Amino acid sequence: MKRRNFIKLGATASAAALMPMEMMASREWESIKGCDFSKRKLVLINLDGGNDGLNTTIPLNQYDIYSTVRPTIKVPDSGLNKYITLDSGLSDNQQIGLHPALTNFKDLYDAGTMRILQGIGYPAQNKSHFASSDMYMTGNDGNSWLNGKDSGWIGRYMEQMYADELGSDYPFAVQMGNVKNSLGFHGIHEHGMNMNITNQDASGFYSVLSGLGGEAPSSIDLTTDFGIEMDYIIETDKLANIYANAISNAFNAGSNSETYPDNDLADQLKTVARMIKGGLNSKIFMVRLPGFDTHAVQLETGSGDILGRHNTLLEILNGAIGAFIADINSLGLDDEVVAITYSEFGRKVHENGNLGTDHGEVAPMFVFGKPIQGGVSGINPDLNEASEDNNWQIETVQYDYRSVFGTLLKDWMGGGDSIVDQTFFDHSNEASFNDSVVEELVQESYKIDTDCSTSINDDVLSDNANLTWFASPNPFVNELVLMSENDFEKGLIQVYNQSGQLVKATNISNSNGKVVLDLSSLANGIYTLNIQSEGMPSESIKVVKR
Amino acid sequence: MPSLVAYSSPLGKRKAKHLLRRACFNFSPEKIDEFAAYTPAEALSIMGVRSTAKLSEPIDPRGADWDEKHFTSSTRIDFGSQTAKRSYVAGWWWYNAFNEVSLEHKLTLFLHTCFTTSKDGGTGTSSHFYDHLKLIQLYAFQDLKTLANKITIDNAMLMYLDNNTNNRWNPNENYAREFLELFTILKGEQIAVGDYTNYTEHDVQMAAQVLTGFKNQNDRTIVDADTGLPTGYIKENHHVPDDKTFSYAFGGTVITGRNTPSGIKDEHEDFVNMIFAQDATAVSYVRKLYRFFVKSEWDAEVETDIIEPLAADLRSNGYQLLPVLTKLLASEHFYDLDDGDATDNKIGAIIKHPMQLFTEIASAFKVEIVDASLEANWEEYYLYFFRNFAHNSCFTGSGFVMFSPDSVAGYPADYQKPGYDRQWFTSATIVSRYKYMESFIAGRNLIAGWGRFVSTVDSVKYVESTISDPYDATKVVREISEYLYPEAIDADRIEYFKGFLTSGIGDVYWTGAWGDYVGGDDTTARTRLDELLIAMVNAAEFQIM
Repeated sequence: MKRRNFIKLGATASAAALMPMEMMASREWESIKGCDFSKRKLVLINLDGGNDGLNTTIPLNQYDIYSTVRPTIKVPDSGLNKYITLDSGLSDNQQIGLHPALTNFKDLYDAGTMRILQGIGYPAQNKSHFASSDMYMTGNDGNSWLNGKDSGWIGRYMEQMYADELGSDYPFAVQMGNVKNSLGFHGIHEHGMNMNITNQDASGFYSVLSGLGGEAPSSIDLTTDFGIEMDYIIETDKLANIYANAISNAFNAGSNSETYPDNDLADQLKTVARMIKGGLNSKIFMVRLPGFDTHAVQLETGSGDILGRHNTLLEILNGAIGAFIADINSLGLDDEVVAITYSEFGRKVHENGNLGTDHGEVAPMFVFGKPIQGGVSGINPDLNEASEDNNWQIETVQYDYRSVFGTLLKDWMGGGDSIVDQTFFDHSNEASFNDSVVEELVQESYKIDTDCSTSINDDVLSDNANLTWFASPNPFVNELVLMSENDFEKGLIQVYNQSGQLVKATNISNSNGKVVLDLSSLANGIYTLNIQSEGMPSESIKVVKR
Repeated sequence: MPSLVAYSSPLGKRKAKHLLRRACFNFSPEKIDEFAAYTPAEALSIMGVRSTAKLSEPIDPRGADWDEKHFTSSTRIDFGSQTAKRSYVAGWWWYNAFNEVSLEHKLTLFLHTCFTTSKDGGTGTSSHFYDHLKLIQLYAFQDLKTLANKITIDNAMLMYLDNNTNNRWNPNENYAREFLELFTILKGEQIAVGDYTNYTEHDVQMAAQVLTGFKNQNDRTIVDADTGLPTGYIKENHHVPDDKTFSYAFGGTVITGRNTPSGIKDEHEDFVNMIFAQDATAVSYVRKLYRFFVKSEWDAEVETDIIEPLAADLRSNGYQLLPVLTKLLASEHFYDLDDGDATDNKIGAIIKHPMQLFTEIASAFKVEIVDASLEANWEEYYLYFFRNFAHNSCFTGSGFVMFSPDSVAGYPADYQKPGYDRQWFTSATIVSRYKYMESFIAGRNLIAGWGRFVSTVDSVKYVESTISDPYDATKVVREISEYLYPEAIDADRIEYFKGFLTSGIGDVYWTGAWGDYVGGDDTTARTRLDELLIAMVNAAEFQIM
């Protein structure tokens, strides 16, 4: 197996060759209609290890059952460590007690800048940390590799959405808090669109790194493993130098206005805020708080003291997010930043024998920022679902994690329907996540104008106007029917993907005035069909497979 | 066609480098020249000998008394500075790995990635981690199946995955899940809800029951007669005594529940036997072995012609790793001689692990590591060189927190698709990697803290003792590159590196500088060579193996 080659932008492939037609169109729309969302950022906060949702948002309507299945690790309903009642105005089945460490979350909720989404998961939950973390990054649902395997959803999104900026002097995404490069950032191709600055000194990064790797060899034989790996080293070094410059410049130009607690997550978010203030163009930031795999000592004693690892983690999270959102507001960036937490799974309803909990399925997500509609989506999970027979699991998924991320990509970041489809698509049910957006997540006033996003798909297709050939349906799923205004007998169709690679070529002949093309083997995406038929000039027609 | 047929001619320099890099931590020019004359079988028989443990035990150089200095052979475990002590355990291991050419060391590191624990992440004291490391080291040359039995009752493992508190009243699935998913049979594709091909969620629950009742013995007073190492014990009334019925994935095997310590040990053995009787278990270990020693990704032909036959060998020989690995490392396949092109595959196909990079620099440039068995050198070796420089700065700075991966899956290079080993070379690791050689030359830790150490690279002495004609700039560059790099470099590249010696003036400049050195003034020669060696180490060619 040959390993993934690096696509060298500006060298072997130009940015233009990789640019989806969709984006050329959408940039025009931006200028025409004022749909400029280029400053918007998404901050992903990874609660690594599987956060215990039931002790984070306690289902008050079922407190009796909760305290029966969690006799020693429950958050008490009285005393100093009592949960925080989120909002007594919510309906009974939405009544939530926040873990007492989450004081800032309560304030953000009260200010209308935090939404809780209940019952996040995906159809076939995998209880392995590593498999489930990979799913959350690839867009998989546990049912089929078609839904994502070797590329990440963030990578696919960036590749499509910012295709006309590929090869720019800044990274689309910045990762911190984990030396391991996230699978989420790998696109269909290897572009190196992200920058990992874990444990690096953002201020001096460029001046330290610059030139250390020396000059690259003038020629490399890419037919050998040795050459391919050397190329990877050289390109990684080159991009790291370019991106380090952007990181250091932004960090040194930026500032913070609030005091952060002294912990690693707070440091990461502090750096994010400062770089955004300093003008870093990066779109997506990923930070991480590890340690949520609380099989043991989630609490220190079984006497309702709530102390222990889970409490410590939530205190860190609460302090870091409180400071970050306050800073974003003080820095005047509150119209530009949305943050969201995610975790690879929740934990079992029933406690284990070690003051802890084992791997579970669904868990809540928290979304923060002024552009977010405050509130609660979904209802408390039904604890009666959990029994000895199902190993004490809550299995009902109220929101697929892809619907939530997809909503943010669409309503907040401005991805059009087809970009969302190329980022996430439910191949198991042939369903588009455009049809399951969480309408109430983003404030109406911040939602990307429907003219901006819905026009994008139309724009791709409008490029097909004035052609003599016509493709239907477009977008299509498996088969495409082609018809021509002109009489034709036979010809040749070549199908190119967005990288300009020929993916299929086939001879065609007229059958009742049309040609039926089976393209079921192709991945979803935008393709260009080059049609040559006798006696007519060749035509290019753009089609969308979804 | 990929072939396990043994290659039986002398290795020559290129293949000797390949074998030494992949199979051990010693990479000195002398060792390369020596091994070039051997056939793979001869080389591997030398490597198949156990470590002589040049350094017999770790030392805490700042220990208050004899016991604390010799913390692992002491009967006490109540010492402070445990994080430092754990790094001294790692330093003891590295010292032996650096000084010997036995396969034992790479296999120990390999087994650490198979039965992952984290020395700083909840495995108890430094003494417990030492016992754990000794255990996997012992079984590097024995069988995996017995190791799988021993590891469950290893004190460090019992603490790391909480199995010491797994009991009949409220089973804790943590260890059971990882034992199946990561340590033995491995998770296959999820083919139905809760069904991971090789096992199901039901099997995790049954395994958790089999694994109830194992307890750690914190004071290290229980010694396993087979291994001579401290171990845990079985508390029978914490164990689920019922029969455990496994899923269709294990043919519905029923493991008879037992309720005495020896019965529970037998029950565990039955459980391990059930797992190791599955083809998938042998295949899983061979895939890991291939990824660790050969390359990260392979095609269906390699799976059929290399992985599967080796897995059959592994099963039939009772899960002895050494003969399987020896066969692989002696094969035409390993040396890229099983297809028409002997230059396109495997050699130079892996990005170097930080410890590989560090250790290669130390041996390739003949760094004289102080003799750590002498009390006078304890502080210099354990504290200044190993802990402060190697362990805390070089390794940690490059994403390798030694013996302490941040999750039980191990180091991302060993499991994270699609990049695998490419995880070692990213924007978050390269600044440190690029500073190793500069630090070795300066005798100062340039990654963090500027601390001094005495085990340095002396560039002038290295060239004098290694290069046939040090006056000749071209020969200097070519001969160094022949020792360092997987493949030869072209004339352009030689010219580029030569520029560091000739300073834009010409070959005569370097010839003169070397003449000055011979005449007693090494200033120019040293400055030029220091720059050259840093450039050659930081070059892409040296980052891969």
